[in-house]
Amino acid sequence: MAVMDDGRPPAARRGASDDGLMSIFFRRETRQIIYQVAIVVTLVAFFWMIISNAAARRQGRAWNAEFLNSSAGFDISQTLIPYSAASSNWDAFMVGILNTIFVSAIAIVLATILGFVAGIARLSSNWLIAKVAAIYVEITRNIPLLLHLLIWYFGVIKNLPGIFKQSPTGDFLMVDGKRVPGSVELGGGILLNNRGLFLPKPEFLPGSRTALFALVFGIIASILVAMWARRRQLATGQQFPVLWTSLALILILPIGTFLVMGRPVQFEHPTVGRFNMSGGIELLPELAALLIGLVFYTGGYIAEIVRAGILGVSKGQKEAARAIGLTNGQALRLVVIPQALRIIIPPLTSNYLNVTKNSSLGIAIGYPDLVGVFTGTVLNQKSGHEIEIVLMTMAVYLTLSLLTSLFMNWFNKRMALVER
Amino acid sequence: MPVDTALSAATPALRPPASETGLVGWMRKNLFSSVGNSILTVVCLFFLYRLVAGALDWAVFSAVFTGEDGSACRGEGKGACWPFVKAKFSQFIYGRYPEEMRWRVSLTFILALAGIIPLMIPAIPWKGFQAYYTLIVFPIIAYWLLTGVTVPVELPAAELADIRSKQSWWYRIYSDARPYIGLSLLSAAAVSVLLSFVARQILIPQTMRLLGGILFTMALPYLIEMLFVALDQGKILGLAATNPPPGPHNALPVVKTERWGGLLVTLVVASVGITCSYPVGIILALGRRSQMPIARWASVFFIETVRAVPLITILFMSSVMLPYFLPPGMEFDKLLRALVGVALFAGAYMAETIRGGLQAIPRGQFEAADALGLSYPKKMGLIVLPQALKLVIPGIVNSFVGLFKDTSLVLIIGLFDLLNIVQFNLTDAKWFAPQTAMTGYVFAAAFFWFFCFAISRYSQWLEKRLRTDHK
Repeated sequence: MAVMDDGRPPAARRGASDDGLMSIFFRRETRQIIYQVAIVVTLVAFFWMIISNAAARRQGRAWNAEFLNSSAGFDISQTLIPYSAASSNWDAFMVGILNTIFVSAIAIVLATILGFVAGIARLSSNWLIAKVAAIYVEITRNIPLLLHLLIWYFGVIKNLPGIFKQSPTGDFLMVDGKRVPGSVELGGGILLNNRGLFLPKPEFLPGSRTALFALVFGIIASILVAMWARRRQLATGQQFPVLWTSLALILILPIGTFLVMGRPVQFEHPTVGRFNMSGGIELLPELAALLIGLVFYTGGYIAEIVRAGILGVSKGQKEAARAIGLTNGQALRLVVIPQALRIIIPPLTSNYLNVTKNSSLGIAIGYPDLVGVFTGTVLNQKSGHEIEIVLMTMAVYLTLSLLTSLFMNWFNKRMALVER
Repeated sequence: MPVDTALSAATPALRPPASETGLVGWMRKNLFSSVGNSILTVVCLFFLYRLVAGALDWAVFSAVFTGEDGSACRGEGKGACWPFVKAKFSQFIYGRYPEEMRWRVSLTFILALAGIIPLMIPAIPWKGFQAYYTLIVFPIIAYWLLTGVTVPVELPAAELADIRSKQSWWYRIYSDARPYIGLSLLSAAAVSVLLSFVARQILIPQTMRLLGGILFTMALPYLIEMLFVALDQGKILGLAATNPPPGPHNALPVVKTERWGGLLVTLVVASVGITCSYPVGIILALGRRSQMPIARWASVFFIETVRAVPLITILFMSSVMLPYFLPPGMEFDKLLRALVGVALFAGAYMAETIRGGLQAIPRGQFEAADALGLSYPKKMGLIVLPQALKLVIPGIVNSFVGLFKDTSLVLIIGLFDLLNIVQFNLTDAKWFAPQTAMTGYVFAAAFFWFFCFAISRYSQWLEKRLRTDHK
């Protein structure tokens, strides 16, 4: 058989499909190009149809961002930056973003604590604690988050006592011709009622700066001490009581300075006026309900992730740690949890992203987060710009999600097990 | 003197000390094994007692069980207001569906269960048939049952000519042929299936049967419409409809989706979401693993965008922007907008689940399929996807639970799902009482919890069962 090394089958077995112009269609690369061109053409046609229909419906309204500069015309109940009804829509957008980040950050911190506690409790040797944690996780995971929020808001917070004591039929209790305050007093001047949680507002007098500097100094010093102690342990094997030293530096030093300077912080206590509360810091009931709901819901998911992480570390690690004499607590802290963290952190990060996305449910109870302020109120008021508004909101969440993914990729690369 | 040290008979074993066995022993080991544990147990028991006693008191001991309106529930120290739930229960299930038509919804539920329950039990054979019924035939029947059937109206000739002159040419041909479509498709399907048993040398039996199935599915809407029209006009079973009103009327009265509500809407949204997410997810997952760069970028872009934004924004986008995407004058049904949004959202998440399953298939399977010379559709359809989809069945059930919980979000775009119906009824002044809100929400929570818990238990059982089979 003659060997012809141009890759084509020998002449005797060549059929019509191996020669000629049609043969280029039987190669896989050609087919792939055809399919991709078809996909591109379909997508382009689809988007063109959408855009031309949208343009027809808009009847020549300009595609610009002018509406962002016009005045918003509505008030927002919680603003972390100065804002009024005369501020622009762009300011409302920023207020929404800041509210979302604010509530997400606090919810993430609290949910992590609750989730870790519940996850570790679920693996406890104490049967009662383990079962209670299991029941908590099962209950919170099987109820929609929206229902959590509604229960906490309408069921609990709206049923708290009002700022004045009322009888069940709605009359105010009067003593000496004045209404009796009815808020629940939590001590230290903190008042809880169905209009929110009222905290005393601190006023910083001139001497408080020194205490603040002492606090910052204490934090930096404790970090330096921890780094030095770690290096010393790696070199000599001696341990240093870092925890107590840090506590002393962070707590005792600033508090000492505070007392020495003559307690330069005054508190303005919230008081009940004729119809309203005045003074103090007000935390909206919507914020409280959103926070509690998010924390309880996400805590259940984080508990499951933590449990899976700790169970994912092979049992031999814990047995070996016990064999060299570490106690249960030390084994958990020094051997198991660092390895479990490698398993825990990727799903944990995506859960943090879920918290940020779930904070958008605040719209259902009236919390002014990004979706509530921008997609809710602004969209209703500035009809005709729906597409821009929705796209801007989606862009914000996309950015947050991209940042989270970048962090997760970086973390995974750092912590990945390098196998030999 | 020799001592008999060997025992002649075995001494009966002594029982362990009382503090090691039974309830006391178990408690010592599990609850009070150390000082710290004992303190924890005591504190936990204390809090549990407070919590459970309070909840029981609210739900049972101080609760109101009978009453005609809210006045029975108003009062100092009254607990849950259960008469509210009892009175509004049918609204929670059916929404504002007209009372006399509710049998249609119940029939739909029964038909759905008839399809789903056999599918959930792995032992029952002929899963292909069950899947065909549940995923293809049942949705068509359910759509017509729930929305209603309009009788093609016989108009006077002049009006008919006027309307026809305004229609496009293909619509005219279609409406002329309409009465004959159902039966002709049915006969084509029958012919196709019959032929599949006969000419094996020329035709591929499976393809003919598949074609027959597709033709039958296409015939089904027309056949159902014919059935209802015939029932209405008394042509079947000799039952003349009792005084059918003259003029245009409906064989099965049309119920607009605005009146659907409660559990009906929740189940419709969840099941349509999960059913549509399946093909969308498969296409996206295959696209993401494809070697064609454009397909890969498009899939990645779509999946990552949809997964990065909250479901609310997708619902807003579909409910606010979809009407923009149609020519001016056409309106989109509100429920349909939510369904489109939910289907896209669920499809993106399903794509990730299926991608996980595809990654678990050993490369040898792909390479063996290539070595046999199978084309891409055959490779995926016959070798890879059956294995991958079987692997991700627990993941799909979990997605269903998540989607079922997420359907409560349609509350925000104004659709009346179970949660919104409960909330809507809380504004009823007749039942106004301090504990009504909590009662309604606790009822909804109990319902969701029961449903989701049952399905996730089923999913765990299924996972254990499938993993054993896989070995």
